Amino acid sequence: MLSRLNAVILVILSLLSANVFSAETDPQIQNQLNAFALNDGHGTFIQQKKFKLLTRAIESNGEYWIDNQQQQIIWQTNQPVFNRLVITADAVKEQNKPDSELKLLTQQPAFTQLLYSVFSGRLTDYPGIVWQSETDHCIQAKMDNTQLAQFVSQIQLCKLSSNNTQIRFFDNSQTETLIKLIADK
Amino acid sequence: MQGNSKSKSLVKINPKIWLIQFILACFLLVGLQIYKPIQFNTDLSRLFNTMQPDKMAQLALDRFSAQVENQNILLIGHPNLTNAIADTANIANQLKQNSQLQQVQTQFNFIPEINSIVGFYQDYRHFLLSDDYRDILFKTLDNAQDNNAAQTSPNNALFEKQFALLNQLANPFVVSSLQIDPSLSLADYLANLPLPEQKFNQYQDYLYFEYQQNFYVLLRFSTKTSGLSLNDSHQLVSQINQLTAQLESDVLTSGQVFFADFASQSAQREMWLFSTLSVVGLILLIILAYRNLVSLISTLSLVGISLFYGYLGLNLCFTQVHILTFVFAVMLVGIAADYSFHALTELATQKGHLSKIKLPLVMGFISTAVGYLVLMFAPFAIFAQVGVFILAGLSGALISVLVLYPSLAVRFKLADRRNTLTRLSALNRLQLGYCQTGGFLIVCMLAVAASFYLAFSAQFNDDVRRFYKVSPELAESQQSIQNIIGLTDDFQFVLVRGDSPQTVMQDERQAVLSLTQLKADNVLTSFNAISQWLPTEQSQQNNKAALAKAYQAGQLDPFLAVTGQAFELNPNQQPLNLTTWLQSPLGKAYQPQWFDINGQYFSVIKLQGITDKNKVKKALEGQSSVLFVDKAGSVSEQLSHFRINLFKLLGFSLLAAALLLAGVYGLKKALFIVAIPLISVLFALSASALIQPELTVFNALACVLIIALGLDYAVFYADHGIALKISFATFVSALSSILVFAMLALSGTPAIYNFGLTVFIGIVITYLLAPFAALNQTARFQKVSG
Repeated sequence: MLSRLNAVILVILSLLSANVFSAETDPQIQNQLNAFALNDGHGTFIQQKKFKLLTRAIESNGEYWIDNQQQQIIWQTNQPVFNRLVITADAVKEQNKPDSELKLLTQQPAFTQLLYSVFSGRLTDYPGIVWQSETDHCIQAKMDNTQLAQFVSQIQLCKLSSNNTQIRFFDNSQTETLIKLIADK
Repeated sequence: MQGNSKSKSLVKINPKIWLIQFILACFLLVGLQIYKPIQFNTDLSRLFNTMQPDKMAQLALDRFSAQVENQNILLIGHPNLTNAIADTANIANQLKQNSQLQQVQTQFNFIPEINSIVGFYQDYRHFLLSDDYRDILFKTLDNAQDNNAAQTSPNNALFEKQFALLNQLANPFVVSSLQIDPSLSLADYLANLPLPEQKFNQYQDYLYFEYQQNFYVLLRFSTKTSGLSLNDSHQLVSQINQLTAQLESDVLTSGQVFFADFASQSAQREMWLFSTLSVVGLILLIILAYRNLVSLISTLSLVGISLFYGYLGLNLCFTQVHILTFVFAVMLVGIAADYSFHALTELATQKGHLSKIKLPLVMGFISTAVGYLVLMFAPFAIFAQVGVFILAGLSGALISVLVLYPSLAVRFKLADRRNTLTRLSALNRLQLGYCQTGGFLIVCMLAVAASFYLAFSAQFNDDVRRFYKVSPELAESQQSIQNIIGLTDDFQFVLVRGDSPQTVMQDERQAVLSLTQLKADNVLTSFNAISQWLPTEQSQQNNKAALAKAYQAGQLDPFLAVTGQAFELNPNQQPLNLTTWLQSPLGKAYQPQWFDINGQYFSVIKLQGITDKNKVKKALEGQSSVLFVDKAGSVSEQLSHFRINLFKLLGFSLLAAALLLAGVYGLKKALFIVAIPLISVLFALSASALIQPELTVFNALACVLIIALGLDYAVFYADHGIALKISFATFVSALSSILVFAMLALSGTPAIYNFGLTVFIGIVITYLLAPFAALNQTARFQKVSG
């Protein structure tokens, strides 16, 4: 076991992180967070990925399905290429063709929990992530951990309307991923 | 009697010669203690060490095992991480002062970051492709070749793959490598590396886990050798216990040193307790039975002499002896005392002569010796050690009895001393009473029933892990660590061997393909191989050639158009080789899994969570250079083989004994003699099977002693009839043996408990049945004055 541990220690790229000094979420902020919760159902999205290196944004669009009871989100890119992610709190799986098998992308709990909570809008503080109010409609969180920050350094969520949410992910190299969610009415 | 006439021919040795050899033996032992002192081993993993038929493979396994077995871990848990870290640092500082430790590690600042991984691999980009990327690329090229239209029909699958990578929500490898490799082949390769799914966290270079509202910080330490001496391991564990007792933190421990220390402390306690109780019991027995100081001193001296020779035997034959050997060796006290009791009883009745019991004594010794000779050649260290100890000790005891006791009898007038012989006439009459033919038939029928029970109901389980005594606290701690870390400690792996690094890597790759399929079939949960991280050089060359071809055929163009990046192949690049990789941030972790011995190269694939060992074995059996190693499983399997062979050997031994005894006592009497231990074994095993959940090899091993003692007692009865002096001597010697083995049956170590229980039951039954050996001769009641 120990030698395995040795290997594991060295190659660890765990996304897990915990805030040592995590605190209870402020009730006022929690109210604001609750406003982002999405109900079960279907919606569409538009995604723009802005690499610092590239002159133009990489655009894609698709649709999503949220099943809060199953704690599962299906995130399906339709254009320009098909790609389907099945996101749960435990794992993210990928499908490159509608009829192909689901392939496990990651089971890193912190990362899967983060994705699940951000896309379902069921936000709460947990180790490594502390949400703060930015404006009346927007909240943001900075990753309080260097390892997690290698993947996502900052997240911003804005409630544009009752069925319209905007999510922005930033990484350390300032690549921005802007996603607009439009829930079906 | 036949036996008595033959016994006169036994060589008579002068006590002075005995004294000279004893003095020489003393000098020899002292010399050995000075120049080649025996080491007491506490390492449980070496208790049942087995050797691989291939010497080179054995060397490789030894080297790898040593690396693993030296490692120990502590997890220091506290609700507040800062406190947990402070306690960890404190313990580490103290442990660093311990000269027995090679390394104490709490900070793991060499954990590579994504940028450093990308930085290392960028020099080898284009040589490295993920399986998926390679498949798509190769299919693309195949299709292009088939259609002869590569220039005009860019492949959608490749573009889709690349775009999906670019579009992924959070793939840091894409961001980090996009500029240097716009084909994204490197990003995909890195994203598909078999990174562990462990719940580690890092804070200020400390690794910690969250578990049940506590933050557990990792402290790892390695000992200089896997088999620390008793004192060193105890000192180390005591130091750790002292340090951790002062903390508020919860401390979990795991590692060889903790288990070995507990087992050795427990073995030492039991050894001293059993020895002391045996000797005290023996003293009481002698006082009650013989009621004279000479008998007491001579018996205790004989026990001491036998222990001396046993220890000398160990010193001559072994450089390391496991501490548990001495717990088993306590039985020497009981057997050596037997010789003394028979001799003292005979000397009391025969006016200082042993002539009448010389032959039974020698026959008894031979039967016991044969049993222990079997153990000496057993493929397990502990059995061989016990065998040598008992055999050497009994040899010393027998010679001493035959040479010294007659002189003692004359000098101290033992024949004139009183003993309680006459008081046991009731016992003698009882034996005469139940030793009727009808009684023996009933016993035989019960024995048949017992053999049916054994054949159809009793279960054997020789899982080596069940033979150790593990403290509940340590077991709980180990389990918690497994839960927290998510790893088990099954010592199962695959060893790949070859004449060159490339051959090993190629063969390992084949093994990895088989293991990948097994993983998909849920036969194992994970495995860890170098070739998962490093393709063979040939494969790397093929990758680069394919990528170059695709680029030249314009297959990359659609994606390059999206990113606006230029793709460039560097013709001077060299593939990534093993030596370079092992020095990389990731490769350093795999250094223990790669080694060379005398021009042979070895790689280890670690396996985790095997559910069906046979499937793993079968999947790999086609590769001659690949060896599946399941240390515990293989030892358990060999123990089972040993047990089966032991039973066969005991069967042959009984047959041989019957033939040998037939020459001395005639066939009928010989069959009666042999029937006693055989029936005793059947009863003892059946009773043990009823008491224990499953029988083990140690119950089987107990049969060796039951047969030896059974033959011993039976020969005495067959030789002398149900005589009062035999009833007396057998009663006293059986009592002494029962005393010893009843204590072993109280041992906390399962192996010793199994052994002690069966021998205890076996001796009681043997003692009760032994008078039946005199069935076919006129029963005599000899009243011998005390």
